[in-house]
Amino acid sequence: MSVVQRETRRRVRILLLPGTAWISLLYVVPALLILAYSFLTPRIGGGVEWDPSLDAYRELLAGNARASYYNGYVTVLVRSVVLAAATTAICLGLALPLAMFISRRRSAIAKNALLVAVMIPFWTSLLVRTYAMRYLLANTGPLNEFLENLGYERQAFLNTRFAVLLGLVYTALPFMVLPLYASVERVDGRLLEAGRDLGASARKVFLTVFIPLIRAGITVGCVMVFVISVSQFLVPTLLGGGKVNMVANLLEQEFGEAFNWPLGAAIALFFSALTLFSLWLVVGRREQEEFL
Amino acid sequence: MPGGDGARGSVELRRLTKRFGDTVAVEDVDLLVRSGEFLSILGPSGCGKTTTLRMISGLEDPTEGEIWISGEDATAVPPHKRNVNTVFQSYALFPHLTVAENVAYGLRVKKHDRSAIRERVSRALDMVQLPQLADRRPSQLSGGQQQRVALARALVNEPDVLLLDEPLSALDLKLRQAMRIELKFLHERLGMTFVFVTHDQAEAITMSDRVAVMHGGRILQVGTPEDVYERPVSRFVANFIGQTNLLQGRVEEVRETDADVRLASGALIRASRDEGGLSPGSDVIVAVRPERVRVRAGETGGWGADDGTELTGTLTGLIYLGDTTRGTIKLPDGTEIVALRPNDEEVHPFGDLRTGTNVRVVWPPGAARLLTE
Repeated sequence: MSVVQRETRRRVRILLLPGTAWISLLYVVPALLILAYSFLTPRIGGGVEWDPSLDAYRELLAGNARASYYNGYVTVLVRSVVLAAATTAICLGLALPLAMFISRRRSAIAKNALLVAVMIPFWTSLLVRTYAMRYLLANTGPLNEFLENLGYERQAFLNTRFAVLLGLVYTALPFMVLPLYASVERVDGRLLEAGRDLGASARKVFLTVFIPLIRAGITVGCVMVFVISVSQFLVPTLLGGGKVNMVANLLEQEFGEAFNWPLGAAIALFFSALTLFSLWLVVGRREQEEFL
Repeated sequence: MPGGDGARGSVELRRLTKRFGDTVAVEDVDLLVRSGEFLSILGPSGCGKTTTLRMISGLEDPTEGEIWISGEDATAVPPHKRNVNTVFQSYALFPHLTVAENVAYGLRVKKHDRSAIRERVSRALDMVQLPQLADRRPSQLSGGQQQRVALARALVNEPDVLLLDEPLSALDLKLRQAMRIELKFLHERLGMTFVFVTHDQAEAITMSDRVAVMHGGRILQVGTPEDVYERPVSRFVANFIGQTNLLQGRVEEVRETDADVRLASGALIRASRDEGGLSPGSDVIVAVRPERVRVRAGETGGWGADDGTELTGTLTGLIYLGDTTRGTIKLPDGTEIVALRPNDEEVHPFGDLRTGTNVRVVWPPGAARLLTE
């Protein structure tokens, strides 16, 4: 290693220090605490007794007879993953045409205007937006009024999986559009022409050239949407009404209502492990350079 | 009605026009590319040559006119169904595929079987001398290597017509000259029709069977390299292909194959001409190639005033160019004439002439060509 390289490394280390300290303090330490809590005994009224125990994991793996159908741990875990996966798929389906549409605008003004439009929801609190959706979907809300005017019966939209999925997609969509747009924008149109020239139909070029070229954007978008959706709390709470609980609701119950912190910690750890594993499946095995 | 000469690999453009909004990129182009021919479309940037090529490949739809390929009307045929392939200026190699996968792409989408694909890909890579790079990614290759991959990727499909869009322009001079020879050799070996777009006149002249000179969306002249160089039909062609001395004048007398022209300086010279209406009194341009011009001091004899191939002026500049020496002669009316002489002997091609001396400028009969525009 040359002097220059050694000097560069030293500088990189110094530059990484603040970020590393921040993450250690606010993420690694709490994560270790959670790990420790999961092996302790619950204290009545919250907190833990420093008394080693495997009860939390036993309860987690045994399922739980106490919990209602809606809150069975396995049910909730599976539901969270399925809803997040469905959200990811729907977002991808909606965002790709949109990203392509925005990217094809000729004028920079039109592009920027459309991108701003995608981001406008961020300017309002998620809480307010979710309450607005509650109102829209309510039994006496505008959607049902519209249906009634068309001659259909009122439907119970609220507190269904449909409502939660709708909320999840609505919340996560920008996180899919932006990375996809960035990737689509970088695609060299001449490569698509080369595909046509070499005998591939437009559909085939889309599948064999375009999609591989934007794969980095697809991966980033999918990971972001999945992670954001799977840990959603507000949407399942307000639009699921306790009937479509997700992992975050379970944690809230264990930490805030049942005061079983070790069980909450165990659920959190189990779920983090699951998420990290799925991320590794999608991203981890790929070469790093593709994302640079 | 069959198009072109009807043979496999022929291309015929009929009254082909392409407009982008208000701008006309290609206007009313008629061109017949014969089967197996190496035809260059030569012109400056923005002349419509690339647009013409893109219309042949199908990547651009003509606004008007027809395109016939291998004797069939291909005007409405989508690009992936035309049996033509393009070597793009930017190469346009797929970055997510290896070299071998890039070359195999065309065969794969056409669903050839695996063993045949492997066989043909390796043969194509052999042909461009890159078999050892089959598993690399395009980003790991040099410009020259990428260029060869692009060539192999097109050739492996055995198209009726190979379209080349300035494929050598991104290479450095040495590599470019080597690739010219290699391309020419490939063409002779494969017998495929090559349509080659370039702005480099040396490229067009050294490689082509015929050259189509394009300017302002129109084809000005189609002919062998010798035709367009020796017998340019217009001022633009004469000037774009090689250097040319252009002299303004007015026709005095018209004969069968030549005419006498009175130059602005008052000198009378004789210039050969093709058939066509030309009457005394019309304004014309006389073109003389610099390499045909000789510079003489004092002495008479040889070609001269009697042949109408002599002018007098002052030698104003001599520049040594390595293989040639370039002399500039100023005529009494201010017009400059350039003479280019090879440094093929130990004696200086301009003798012991110094700048500032009065000289005679002469050329062999027939070297001066009459141009009407």
